[in-house]
Amino acid sequence: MSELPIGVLDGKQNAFDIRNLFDLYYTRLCYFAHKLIGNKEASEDIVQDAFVAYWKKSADFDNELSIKSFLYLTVKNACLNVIRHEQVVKRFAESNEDSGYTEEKITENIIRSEVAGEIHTAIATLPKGCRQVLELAYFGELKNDEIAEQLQISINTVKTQKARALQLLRLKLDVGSLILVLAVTGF
Amino acid sequence: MNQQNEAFQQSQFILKHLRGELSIAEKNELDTWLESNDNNRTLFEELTNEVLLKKELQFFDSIETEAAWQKIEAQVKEPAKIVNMKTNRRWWYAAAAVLLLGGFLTYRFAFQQPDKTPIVKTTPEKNDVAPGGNKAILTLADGSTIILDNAANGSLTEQGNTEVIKLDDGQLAYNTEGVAGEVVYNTISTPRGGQYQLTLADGSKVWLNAASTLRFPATFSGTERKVELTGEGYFEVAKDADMPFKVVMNNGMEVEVLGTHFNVMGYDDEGMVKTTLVEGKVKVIKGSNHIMLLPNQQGSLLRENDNLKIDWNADVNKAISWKNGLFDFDNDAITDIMRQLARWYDVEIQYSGNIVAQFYTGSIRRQVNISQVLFMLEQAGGVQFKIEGKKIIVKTK
Repeated sequence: MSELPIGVLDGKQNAFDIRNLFDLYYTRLCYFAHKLIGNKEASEDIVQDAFVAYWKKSADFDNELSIKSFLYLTVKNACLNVIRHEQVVKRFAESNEDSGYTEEKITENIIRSEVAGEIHTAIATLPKGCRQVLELAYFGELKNDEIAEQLQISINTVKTQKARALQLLRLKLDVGSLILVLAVTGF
Repeated sequence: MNQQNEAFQQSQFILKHLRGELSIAEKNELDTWLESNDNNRTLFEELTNEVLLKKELQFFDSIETEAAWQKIEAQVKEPAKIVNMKTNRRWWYAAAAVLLLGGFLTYRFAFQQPDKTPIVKTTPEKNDVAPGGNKAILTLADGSTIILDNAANGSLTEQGNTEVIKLDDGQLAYNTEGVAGEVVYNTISTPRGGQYQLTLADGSKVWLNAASTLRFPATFSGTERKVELTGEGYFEVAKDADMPFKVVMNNGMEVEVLGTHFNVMGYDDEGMVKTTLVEGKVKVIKGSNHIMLLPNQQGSLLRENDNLKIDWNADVNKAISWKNGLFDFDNDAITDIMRQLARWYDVEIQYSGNIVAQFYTGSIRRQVNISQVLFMLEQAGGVQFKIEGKKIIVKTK
């Protein structure tokens, strides 16, 4: 298992360490829970409870993998409880229907959450200027001069920021030989 | 390993795959995992597909993390340092698309799927074209030629009082001893699919792009350093205030400099001759007209009417991307892109049906096979390709 970004924990954790863990795992655990139970608010509640549970016994953990495993396991169990409860309710209304939440599905969703979460984190750490330009260029599909106008910066700055963003992304998540491809605009 | 840890492990493999960091052993494990179950493959495709993942990442941005953190803190009742983290939305999807499309393509080439038949075949040995390389022919004043891609390193020949040396990295250098004698001209030509770097007798460096020719004296003498260029070259001219350096194009346009870095692109099949300045100052002259260029400016000479124009905010990196081993497209028309590919991969381009104007932005290394470039363009949309030997058939839609 490769090392994760926050480093080894020494048991003397403070709130700051937990905040780091939270920043790293909160959204992806919510995503994981949401994949299982399909309710966003309930998912967030479950994940918050998992963090509270962890916080209270954080001294018991000595490495990040075990913390991560604990968080996923806690969230998974809470979600399964919700699913079981729903099934009981459902049985009265409908015929016997298997919700289909097998271990395999759960494993798939852990992978989904981890991969999407890591990509999300990689992009999150880009500097703000780069992000703004990337957003407008590739999401807003604006041209360089339009971005310059919107952000009140020169076209050269737009170009520099674009180049910088791509360079940084390449460092964070090098996708092999391809650096970028994106906008296609036709008329 | 329990199922959860196994899931963490597979996630790492997929991420490493996206980063291009998989070792052979890891790739084998990932392959085994993909083969073992159709669901695994579906999942993998989903996670390496730009469009699908874009949607998933939107969920991440919809979460109010700060409020959640405060709730957790309140329950634990312990004051904690709050790091201000503002989430910015929308751009995620864009950036993810940037990364994932790359990853997706890497995937398609790494794991050739028999069930999908992309228009571009991914078997490199059969239906692909390798990129160009360091290739050139040096023609000496007496008409004899030296092929530079297979010439051994070291001293190649003597030209008057100048020694022509081939360096380790495939470059060519001219080394002048003593006073200049008679001016002897050499010509270096790169074929389509070739590029070459050389150092002239005055220490100036020249990078020649594919299908280009430079005629230059083995030693410089007189009042100016004059070379003739067709095609495209990037120059890092050694400073010599007493002896201006002049690049003469085949249409009579001249670029005059004292010591500076600039690129000149003047292929006959391009409508404009473009001079892009990286540093210093150059004068572009055509007939009685001239313009002065400062760094980050590009001078364009329209071939059909000799109109000279300055672009004040030129994209210098784009202009010299070829020298840095990249194709760099910035809203470039498909026809412009195909001309560049034709020169570098030495292929013929044929359009099937009407040409629909399509514009592409992005960059890719010049060292990949042509199929990868074509695939990238196909993925961006609006165009399809077919490779037939050294002919590329382009269909815009």
